[in-house]
Amino acid sequence: MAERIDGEPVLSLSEVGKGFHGTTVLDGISLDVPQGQFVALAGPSGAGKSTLLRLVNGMHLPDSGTVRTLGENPAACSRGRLRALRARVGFVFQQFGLVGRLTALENVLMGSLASLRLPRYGVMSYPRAVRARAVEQLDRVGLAELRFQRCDTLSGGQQQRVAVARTLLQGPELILADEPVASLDPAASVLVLDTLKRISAEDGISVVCSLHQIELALATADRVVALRGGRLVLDEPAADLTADRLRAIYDPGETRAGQAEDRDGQADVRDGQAGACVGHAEARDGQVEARDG
Amino acid sequence: MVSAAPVRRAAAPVSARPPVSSRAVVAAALLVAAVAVTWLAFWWIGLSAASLAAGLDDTARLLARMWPPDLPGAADVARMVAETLLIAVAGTGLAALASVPLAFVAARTHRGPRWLRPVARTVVVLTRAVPTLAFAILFVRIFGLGPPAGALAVAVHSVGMIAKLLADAVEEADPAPAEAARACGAGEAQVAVSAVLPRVLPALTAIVLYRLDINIRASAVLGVVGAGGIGVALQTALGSLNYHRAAGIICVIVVLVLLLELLSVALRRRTGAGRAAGTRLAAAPEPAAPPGARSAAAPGRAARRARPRCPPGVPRTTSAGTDGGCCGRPARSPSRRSSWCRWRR
Repeated sequence: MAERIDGEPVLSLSEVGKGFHGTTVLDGISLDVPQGQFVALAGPSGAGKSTLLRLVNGMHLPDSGTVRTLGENPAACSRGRLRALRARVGFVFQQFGLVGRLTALENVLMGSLASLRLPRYGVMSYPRAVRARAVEQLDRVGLAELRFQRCDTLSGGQQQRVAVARTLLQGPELILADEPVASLDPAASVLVLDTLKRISAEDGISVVCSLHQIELALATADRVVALRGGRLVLDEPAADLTADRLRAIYDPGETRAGQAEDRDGQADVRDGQAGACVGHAEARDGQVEARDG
Repeated sequence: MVSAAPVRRAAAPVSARPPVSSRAVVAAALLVAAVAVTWLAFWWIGLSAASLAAGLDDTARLLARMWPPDLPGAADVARMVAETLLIAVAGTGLAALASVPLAFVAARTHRGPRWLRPVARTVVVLTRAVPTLAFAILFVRIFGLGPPAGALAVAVHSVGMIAKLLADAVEEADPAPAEAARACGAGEAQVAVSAVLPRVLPALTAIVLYRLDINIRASAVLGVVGAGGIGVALQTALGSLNYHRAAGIICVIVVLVLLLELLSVALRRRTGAGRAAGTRLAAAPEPAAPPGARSAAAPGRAARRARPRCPPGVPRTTSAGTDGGCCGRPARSPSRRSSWCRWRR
């Protein structure tokens, strides 16, 4: 397995393009995500956010440009290597992707399948150590009490936290979240995002999370990246952004000329960006140390 | 004609004769053709009122020789009935085991090697096309007379149907858990067993029980070709011209089938499958369900009902892919909901 060289970005896209049935969805996207950073991916529906996330773990392959995830190129991976890569990349879906008829614990255990050779059916078919770790992860998202409850009896927010626990059981180095709170009520949204944020900070896991809620994105993320019409139109530390500027991304009235202007201005910002991001990461590290102490 | 009616209202009465449509002509032609073909078939095979009348005498003589029916001893009846049931159970069990992997490979959602799916589809179609009795004749030649040949015949013919219906259920199942498991790095076999099988298990149970129902009927006549069960006794009695005994055995078969029918109706009523009236099991009658199904499902169902629908003030999501769902529960359109989902989720 290709190991990431120290200091290399966890995720690196360069000039990535992708289309479906002749329609361009992503166009010339370049993006580096360093370790431990929480990136919010904003943009109106159809901007290409989901496609971008799916390119990262090889669920889609790019038409042009290259994707490097944890030092691997998903497009060049064999089936087995792609599975090994996916095991290191967590993915949280908007619709949770849980089996409603199974218990929370069994759904979490599915996160360990990549590390096990044979198919598993039922909680007791998983090794004891894995079961213990699964309960631990459920405890981390605050649902250890509900581990034997059927998932279709849980609330939306609880289901999404079960999905996060499943992802954690993989022991991921990068978590991708595709609108994880889009179908949750505000309180549950905050809880799920706080859980993701806490985990990102505690384990130094990078998170790329697409979000529609502007305030949530600004409050949670270290850095906000915005897409519009398949192009990257904004990439700044969350601290430097105001809600109004981010809201403008969603404004349907904004002209293409305005976008182009934005993009031109963007290039300068991006040049200065790398340094800003590193500084940001350092600040975050300091935070973690302070918490540990 | 119709559009002109209001204008001529006071004059001639409005015509009640509908216009002659091409559809009506085709329908009439098809009906005439069907009657003609049926009559041709009667003529070809020599089925006529005269031949039926001629057979009446023989029928009367046969019935006279059969009366009174001679029932075999209770022990014999029990043994024959048990053997018939066991052939059906063994055959159905074997078929259920074999059809699960076959169904997953035959489903459109299969992601493994490309060539596997057509192969699986072919197996499904072939085993479904050949009747149980044809397989029984074949297997009696291969494995000799007796129940093993019968059980195998039942199994091979059932594989096709169970796999076909289960593959439909697999295709209907929510793809999200499978996608999530794949995103975790799980292999295809793991995805099938851990993420999809739990979802289609109720459907599998229903299909297998329904198939068992069919197979018990089928295994009652398998003995006629020497493949074990109560039919062997019938064949022996007829072969030795012991018509009283043959009539007795036919009575036993009729009672057996009636009892099974009553049992499956009772089961269906208990499991509340009738509530899903209007759902079809691939144009087949409602499947009998496992006796424990309802009690097992009840707590979950009750809990789901008790949960508040959606707190006020929660915004309905508008993004693509969450059509009108809220609180994490997608609002499915009725067409997406299969009979399997409704039967028991």
